[in-house]
Amino acid sequence: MSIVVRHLVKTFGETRAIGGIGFEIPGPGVVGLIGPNGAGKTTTLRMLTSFLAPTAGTLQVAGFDTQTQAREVRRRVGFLAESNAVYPDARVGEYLAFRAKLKRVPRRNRAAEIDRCLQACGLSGFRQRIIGRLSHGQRRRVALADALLNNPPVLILDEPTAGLDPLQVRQFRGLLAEMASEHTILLSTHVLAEAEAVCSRVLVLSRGQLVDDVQLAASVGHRSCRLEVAGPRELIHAALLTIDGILSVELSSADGDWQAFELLHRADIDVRPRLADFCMHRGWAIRELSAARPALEARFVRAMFSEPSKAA
Amino acid sequence: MSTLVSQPQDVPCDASVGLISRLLDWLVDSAGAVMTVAVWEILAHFRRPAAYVMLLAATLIAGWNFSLLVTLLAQGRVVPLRQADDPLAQFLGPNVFLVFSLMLIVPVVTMGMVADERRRGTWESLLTTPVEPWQVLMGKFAAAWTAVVVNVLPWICYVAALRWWPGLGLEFDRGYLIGGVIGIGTVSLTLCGIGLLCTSICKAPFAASVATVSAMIALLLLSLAPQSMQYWQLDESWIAAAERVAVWEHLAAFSTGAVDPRVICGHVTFACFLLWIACQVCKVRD
Repeated sequence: MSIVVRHLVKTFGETRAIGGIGFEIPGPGVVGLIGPNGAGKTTTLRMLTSFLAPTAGTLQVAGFDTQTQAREVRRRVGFLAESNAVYPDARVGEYLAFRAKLKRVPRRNRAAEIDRCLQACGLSGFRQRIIGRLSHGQRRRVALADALLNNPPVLILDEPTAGLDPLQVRQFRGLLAEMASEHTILLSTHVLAEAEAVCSRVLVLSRGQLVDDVQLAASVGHRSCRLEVAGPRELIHAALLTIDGILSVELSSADGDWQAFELLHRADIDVRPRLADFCMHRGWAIRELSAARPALEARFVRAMFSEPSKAA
Repeated sequence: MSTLVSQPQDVPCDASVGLISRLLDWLVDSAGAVMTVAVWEILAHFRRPAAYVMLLAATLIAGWNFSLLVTLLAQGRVVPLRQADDPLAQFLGPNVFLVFSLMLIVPVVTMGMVADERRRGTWESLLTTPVEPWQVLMGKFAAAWTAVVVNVLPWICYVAALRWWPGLGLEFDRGYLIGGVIGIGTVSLTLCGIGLLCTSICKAPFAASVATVSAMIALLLLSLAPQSMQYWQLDESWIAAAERVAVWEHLAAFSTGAVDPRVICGHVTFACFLLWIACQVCKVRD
């Protein structure tokens, strides 16, 4: 297991920031941690890096306990903080050399390792530049290059694309995709589209509770739509499943004769014209037929307004 | 019931060798981390223009102070009432110019070391690497002490020039110079410890500098305690105890060439104690 979190609790005085969450990340891949402001994302990430001590519960990273084996954990974690935590007076090369020494990169490999990280983050020509004179996005990339130093098996990234321009975001996603096969990457983000684009799994936090655990890989290539129709519920449900391209049908609400269904269908087929024809031929009146919001957004919104799930 | 298991004869030896080897590895690793932080901090200090402005100011103050010394020497006032009143001994010892400069240099050097790192978020990033908070603080302490000594160098250079400048070559006991340098270095340990503790406690660098200056003034005022106690005719043992913490008197004693290892040990111990408190403060605050 790359990351194991059990019954994690963190309180700051009277405030309970994390209320007994638990999850496991078995191996390489990109896992997203999403949630509104104050959900406890950054606190969770800080505890995983052993910077913060939990009030209760256990955390293991790369097989080491963050409390009793903090040093071993830190050797195996690359951390990108939410703020651009870099020294503005230093040059990029100097800063990375300092960080490489702290991370115990052997002297003979140091220059090559710094070059590798600079190249991976698109900073090859920036070695002699003073960090304080770089743009926000470039500073972010310097911090990312620092996180990549010594090729840690676990990467913990707090809002990694904040402040990057669309091109840089695209490059960053490419970089994550490259690293995902060998590294366990846990990133926090507010941007659901980003989570959908890069993560194979998403953990949804709300008010210190884990309210959902979404496997995104399964929903890739799928879309959903909403149909509100009048007619016999069981018959409609069974009939809809016979339409080519529809993968699942779920009743979401009922109002007298009117039934609302959420339909999951293949992304390459727009099933709405077929659905309209299908219902009209059977004499079922349609009140709504629309493409639903992306799956993650729908689940996120649902999770925010629901009680903490069994995922916690 | 206990089971007795026979151990091969060489096991204790192997175990102790293993322990020593681990201890050595730990020492080398810790020294490496402390050195890395210290070098980085020294470079960071001298990357800022403020470092050179401060060095220039120290040189000017030392030069002014030196001109006064030369005037006193030219007037022939070299026979002191007591040893520490000797203008030469005072120059690297209980000297208002020097002590005032130290009280400016130490806060400027130390105020941002932790407080500013916290404000910028680099403290978190520093402590997510495989280093312990005490190693970071020790490295910063070493850097602060080095920076303070560098800023006091003008005073030392002036006295050295007085002694060894070709054609000038005023013959005086080199104990003044050696004792004075050891004294400044020793007292600076405590002052840097105070500075580092204040920057660990305070949120803002400015607040840390104010706290450092206040603590240093309090420490210097303690130097008046022995005279006050004598005035009030308190017990000799109390006066002796008060003299042990009188920093001004320490500087006076060192500058006459009287190097007391007990005083050095006292300052080293007190600086370590301050660092330990700073480390605990950091753990609680983080």
